[in-house]
Amino acid sequence: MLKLFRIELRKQVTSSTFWIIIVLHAVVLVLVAMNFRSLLQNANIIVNNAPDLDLALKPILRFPDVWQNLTYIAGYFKIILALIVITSVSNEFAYGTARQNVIDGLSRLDWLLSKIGLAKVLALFSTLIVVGIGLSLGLSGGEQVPFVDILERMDYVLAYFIELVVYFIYALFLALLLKRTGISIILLLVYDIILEPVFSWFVPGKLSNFLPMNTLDHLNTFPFAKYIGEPTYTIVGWEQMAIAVGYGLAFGLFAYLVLKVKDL
Amino acid sequence: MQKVLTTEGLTKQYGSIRALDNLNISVCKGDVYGLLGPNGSGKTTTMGILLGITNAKSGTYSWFESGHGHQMRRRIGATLDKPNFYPHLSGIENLALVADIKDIKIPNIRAKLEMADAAKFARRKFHTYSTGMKQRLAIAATLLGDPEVLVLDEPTNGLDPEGIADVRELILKIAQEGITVIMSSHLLDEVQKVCTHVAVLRSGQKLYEGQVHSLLAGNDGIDIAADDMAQLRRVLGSFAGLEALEDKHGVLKVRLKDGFKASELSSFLITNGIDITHFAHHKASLEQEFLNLLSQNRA
Repeated sequence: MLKLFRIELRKQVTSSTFWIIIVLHAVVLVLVAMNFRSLLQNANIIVNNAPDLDLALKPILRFPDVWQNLTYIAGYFKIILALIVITSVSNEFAYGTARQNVIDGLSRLDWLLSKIGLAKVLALFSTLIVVGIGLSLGLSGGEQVPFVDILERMDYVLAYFIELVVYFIYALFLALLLKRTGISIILLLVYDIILEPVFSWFVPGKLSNFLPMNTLDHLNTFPFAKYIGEPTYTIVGWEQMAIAVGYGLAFGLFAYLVLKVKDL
Repeated sequence: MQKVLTTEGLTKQYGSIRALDNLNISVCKGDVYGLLGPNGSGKTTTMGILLGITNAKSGTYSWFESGHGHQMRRRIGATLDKPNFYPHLSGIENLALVADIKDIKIPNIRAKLEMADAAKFARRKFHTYSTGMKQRLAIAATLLGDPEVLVLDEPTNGLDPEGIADVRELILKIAQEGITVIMSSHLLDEVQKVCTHVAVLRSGQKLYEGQVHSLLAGNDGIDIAADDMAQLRRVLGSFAGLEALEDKHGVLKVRLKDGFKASELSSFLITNGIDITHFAHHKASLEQEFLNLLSQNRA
C-alpha cells in the first residue's frame, strides 16, 4: 500500500490543479467557519421559525456542538475535493497513462487501490482541516474547556471522514465509468440534486433513507433545529455509518468490475 | 531454445468485427520479432492483449512460460500506440514513476536517457516535447530495469531519418545483448534490417510466421538483357544454377538456386560469348514478400 501511495503522490504533488483545489477547499472551509453565525442567522429555518433568535447566545461554535455543526456545513463542500478524484481518473484515460501504468506492471486492482488511497488521503486532509478549525473555534472563547467536552460528539468527525471517503469512491466510480471530467462532474451533481430526490418519491417510506446520497446525508442530519427547540439527532447513527461503509465497498467493487471488464 | 512468449488461439471481437482470429505465435529468447500487417490487421490488438490492457475473447498466452500476471509485465519494457506520460511531470519524473511501478531499486535513469538520446531534454515538462522527443523518452522508459523483453509499437513513429537510424542501431545493440525484442512497424525496410523473425497478420489472421531470411530465401532476382536475346536465353538454359526464368518487358528475370552467386552467372555468360547490355542484381525485399503474401491471401 505504501508503494501505491508513493506512486499516486508522485502523480499529484507537481500538479498545479491538485494544489489549487486543495487550497481552495481549505480556504472555503476557513471562510465559512469565520462567517458561520451570520450565514446561519440568514438561514431559512431561523428566519421563518425564530426571527428573533440571537445565535450569538447559542453554543454553535462551542464544544461539543461545534463538531456536529462544523462537519455538517463542511459536508457541502466535499464536491470541491471530489474534483481532484474525478480529474485524476479521467486524465489518466485522456493521457493514456492508466494503460501505461498497467503495461509497466501495475495490476488493475493496484491501480484502483492507488486511487482509493488518494480518496482516503483527501478525506483525511479535509477532516484534519475541520478538526483544526473546530479546535480553534472551540477554544477561542477564553474559558477553560474540560478535555472530555472536546472529545464529546467527535463521532461526527469520524462520520465526516467516512462520508467523504464514500463520496470520493462514488466519484471515482463515475469517473471510471464515463472517463470524461465534465460529464462525470455533471452526473455527480445531477444525481445528488435531481435524480436521487426524484427516486426518493418512488421508493416507499423510510427505504428512501437508504439511497446512497441520503445515506450520507443521514450521517449528520440538519443540526441547527435544536436551537429553535426542534428535536435533533446529537449522536451518529451507527447503523447509518455501517450502511455508508457498505456503499463505499459496493462502489469500490463496481469500480473494480468496470476496470476489469473494459479494455483500457 | 527458451520460449519467451507463446499464444494459443487468441481471439478478440469488437462487436461484429473479429479483430484477432485464433492467433498462435511463439517468440524465443534473443529473437527480434516483427509483427507486420496493414492497418486493422490486429497488430496493436495483439500487443494490447499481451500487455494486459485488452481483454481477449478467448485463447491464452504465456510470458516466460510462466503465465501472464502483472509480475510478468515488470520483466518487460513496453510502449504501445503512442508514448503515454504525465504532461505536468518532467521526463525524469515520469521515468522515476515507471521505476516505482516496476519496483526497480536502482533505476539508473540517467544512463537510460542517454542510451535513448533523451538526456538533454529530460528536465523539461513532458507537455513541451515534440513527437520525436516523446518517442525517445518512451524508449528510455522501456529500457528501465534492464528488461528481458522489449515490446515496441511503431518505435520510429515521429522520428526523422537520423532518429530512425539511431533507433535501429539501438534495437540492434539491445538484441546483441540477448534481449528479446517484439516490435511492429510500417517501415518494412527497417524491419528487414533489424528483425530475425516476423509474423504477418491480415484481418486478425496469421499469414506467415518464421525467420526473415526464410521468407526472403531464393527470392533474389537478376535482370539481364543482351544484344542477342535468343542466344542469351539458350545460354541461360544451360547454366546449372538456374532456378527460374521469366521474360518481362524485354528483360530476362532470373532466379538462382541456393549456393549460386550472381558473379558466377555473369562470368558464365561472358565465357559463352554473350554481349551483356544490362545486368542488375536486386536483393529480395521484405516489402515485396509482404505484398506477395497479402495478395496471395486476398486471391
